[in-house]
Amino acid sequence: MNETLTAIAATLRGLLEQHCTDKIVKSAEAGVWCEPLWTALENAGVPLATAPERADGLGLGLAEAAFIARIAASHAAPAPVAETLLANWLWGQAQGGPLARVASVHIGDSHVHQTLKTGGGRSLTGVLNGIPWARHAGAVLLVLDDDEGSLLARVDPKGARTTPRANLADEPRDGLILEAAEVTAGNLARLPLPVEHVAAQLALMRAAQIVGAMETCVTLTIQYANERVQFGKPIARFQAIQHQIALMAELVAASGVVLEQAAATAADPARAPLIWTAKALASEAAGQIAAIAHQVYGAMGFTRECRLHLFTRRLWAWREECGNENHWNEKLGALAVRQGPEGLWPWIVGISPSGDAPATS
Amino acid sequence: MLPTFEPTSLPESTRTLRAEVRDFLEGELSAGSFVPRPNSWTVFDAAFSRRLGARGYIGMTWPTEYGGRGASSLDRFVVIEELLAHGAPVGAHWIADRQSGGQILKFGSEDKKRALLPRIAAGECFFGIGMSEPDVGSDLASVRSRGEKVDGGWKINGTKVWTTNGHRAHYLIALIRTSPPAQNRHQGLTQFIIDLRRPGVRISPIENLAKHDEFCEIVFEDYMAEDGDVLGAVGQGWQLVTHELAQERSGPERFMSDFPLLIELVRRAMSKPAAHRDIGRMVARLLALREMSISVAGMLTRGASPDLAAALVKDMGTQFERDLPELARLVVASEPRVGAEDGYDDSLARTILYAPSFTLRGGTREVLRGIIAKHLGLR
Ligand SMILES: Cc1cc2nc3c(=O)[nH]c(=O)nc-3n(C[C@H](O)[C@H](O)[C@H](O)COP(=O)(O)OP(=O)(O)OC[C@H]3O[C@@H](n4cnc5c(N)ncnc54)[C@H](O)[C@@H]3O)c2cc1C
Repeated sequence: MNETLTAIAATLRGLLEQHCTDKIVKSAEAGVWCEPLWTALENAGVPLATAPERADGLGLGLAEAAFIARIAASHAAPAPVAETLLANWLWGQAQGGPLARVASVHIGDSHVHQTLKTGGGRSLTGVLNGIPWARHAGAVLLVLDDDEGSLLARVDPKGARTTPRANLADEPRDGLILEAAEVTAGNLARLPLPVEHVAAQLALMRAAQIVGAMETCVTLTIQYANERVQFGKPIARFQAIQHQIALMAELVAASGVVLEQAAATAADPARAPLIWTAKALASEAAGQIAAIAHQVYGAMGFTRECRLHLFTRRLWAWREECGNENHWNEKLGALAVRQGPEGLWPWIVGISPSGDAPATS
Repeated sequence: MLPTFEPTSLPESTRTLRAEVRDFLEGELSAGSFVPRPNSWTVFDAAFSRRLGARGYIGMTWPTEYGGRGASSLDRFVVIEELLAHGAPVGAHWIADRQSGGQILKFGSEDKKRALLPRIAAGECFFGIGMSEPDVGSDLASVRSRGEKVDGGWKINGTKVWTTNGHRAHYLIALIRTSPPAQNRHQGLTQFIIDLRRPGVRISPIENLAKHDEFCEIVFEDYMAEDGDVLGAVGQGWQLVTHELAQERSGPERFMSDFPLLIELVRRAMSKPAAHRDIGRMVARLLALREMSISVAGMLTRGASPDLAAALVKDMGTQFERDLPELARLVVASEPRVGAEDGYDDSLARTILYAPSFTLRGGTREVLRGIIAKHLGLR
């Protein structure tokens, strides 16, 4: 880890400790925008970390973005950290200028109808669903497929109709209704990446959040097992409990190392299979971790009062978002099988960041 | 602190090495010198080991003065993962290369190093692991084989069992009780190098489920060890055996044993899109294990202790090895049979028969989870 990152991490952990108390997280889940948290993050340079330097950012990459998103999620930070970091990075790649204070990204699937306008702008019509944090965002980047490749359209949700919705963790996942919304040429930028790779990058950020939340689940569970006494001893002394928690540690460690390797090469579409792997593993582990944590916590963990659900509900939401494990495993498996018996091993070796980039189709 | 794995990249230099190993293996395959098999790291083929030794693929990380090539653990990782991926018969030298040689290098006398290491590296000298006994499995500190101090050496009596390829090996590193168990059972143990060709050793091969005489029983009857056969110091056996076990658990054979089955499964699944998702799930787990294992090799290169990391990889890896045949049989149905003409039916049969051993040998799943739990502060 480089020094900038170590410094960011230390500051970040400190401010999250202060601004992500259970009370604050719960108020955000009830619909309140946590301005003091966001201001503190801004003062620490977090949301703009991935924007280019000429747009007042730090010019960091997706590896750093994933690292930051993981830490934020380990505190259940109720703010679009992952979304803004990815949006700033993408806009930096495509356009280079500043984007917005709070931003989000959405793959603007086939539901968006585009019409070309004179002057290079476009008019967009369609109903979009499940956009993270749209109601609080100054910009949503819609990733559009057109005949020439992919295009980023910067849309200000304030100028469109939003329908507030939430995921299982009560995080905003809003609808956006575009009725001939005008996007000027300056708000459009060609993206030098295929749309499906942006989908993978979104999955990478979610995987990073999952790993962060899983880490906290394991730490909380260890703590609880050492405190809770039954039959005259802490339940941590029971082997059945020990082995379940050991399994949690394994799952998190495996997801963690793949996440970091995937994030290290996330800008390169040739390395996409490692990102698919990261999200598939994290999504599958999320369910297992949540299940074990709740079993160890007993009835106390089944209450709103206990902290555990701040993390387990996020895991249950995030494992589905941006593709669950079945989605990515299917892609990975199809590609693996396509290599055939002779090609399988060289392909596996090639996927690792130190390998020759493998075939992705 | 939760255990984490430092992401580690294989250095650029390993590309040439990997290409060399693949060339060598392709040559061997086209000469028909071996048939790729699951669990190939217990398949004993002394001639194959000698050819590997001649190419410098054994004892790679040891200093040149002892027959090694001073390579890094990451170089060694690349060589052994290629051998395993090709299902090559590497069982003869595997234990000597993985753990016994390193044990001698770190704890052996200069005489022993000079006498044994170059021969191991040449693929001419093979070792067994002398830990388990009829009454001693997971609870290793309770070993009963005794060493009694006599003039100029030690008189050893007792029985070792499940010794992989012990009936074909030249030497054993054995854990022996040299003073009666005191309050601390970990004291009073000593590791000896046992020469299996000397008098006082009786060996009986044992057949496994797959009708393969993979391991054996070794009885010591007044076996005479010299003082110079002691590894480390008398009474230090527990620390030594702990080190040896960390090496034993640290490698990619703890998740690659089934790889030949995965290859056959892919061959059969090319026309079966319904199988892709399940195969993807196994590939994802394999990719994770590989990254973890490269990270362990990186730790070995830095001289860091891999105990905990190795326990994690071995537990997850062997679980993967046990799950793969169970998944394969459901996605591509077959009536598995050893010796079937169809590679898939044959590999599946062999893997099913070997699978129970994966989560036992080298420390059971339960023992490994206990190690992890201890690190997590649960016991
Ligand atoms: C193919 C093969 C090759 C082998 N090769 C070698 C070799 O070369 N050299 C050598 O020395 N040994 C070798 N072994 C032996 C191996 O190390 C032992 O099998 C292993 O240590 C377990 O010991 P055990 O079989 O006596 O089982 P036991 O220790 O009797 O265990 C039986 C069951 O009880 C469980 N158990 C035991 N203690 C506990 C506990 N405290 N908590 C919870 N569960 C527990 C175990 O996990 C296991 O499930 C080999 C074994 C196999 C199968």
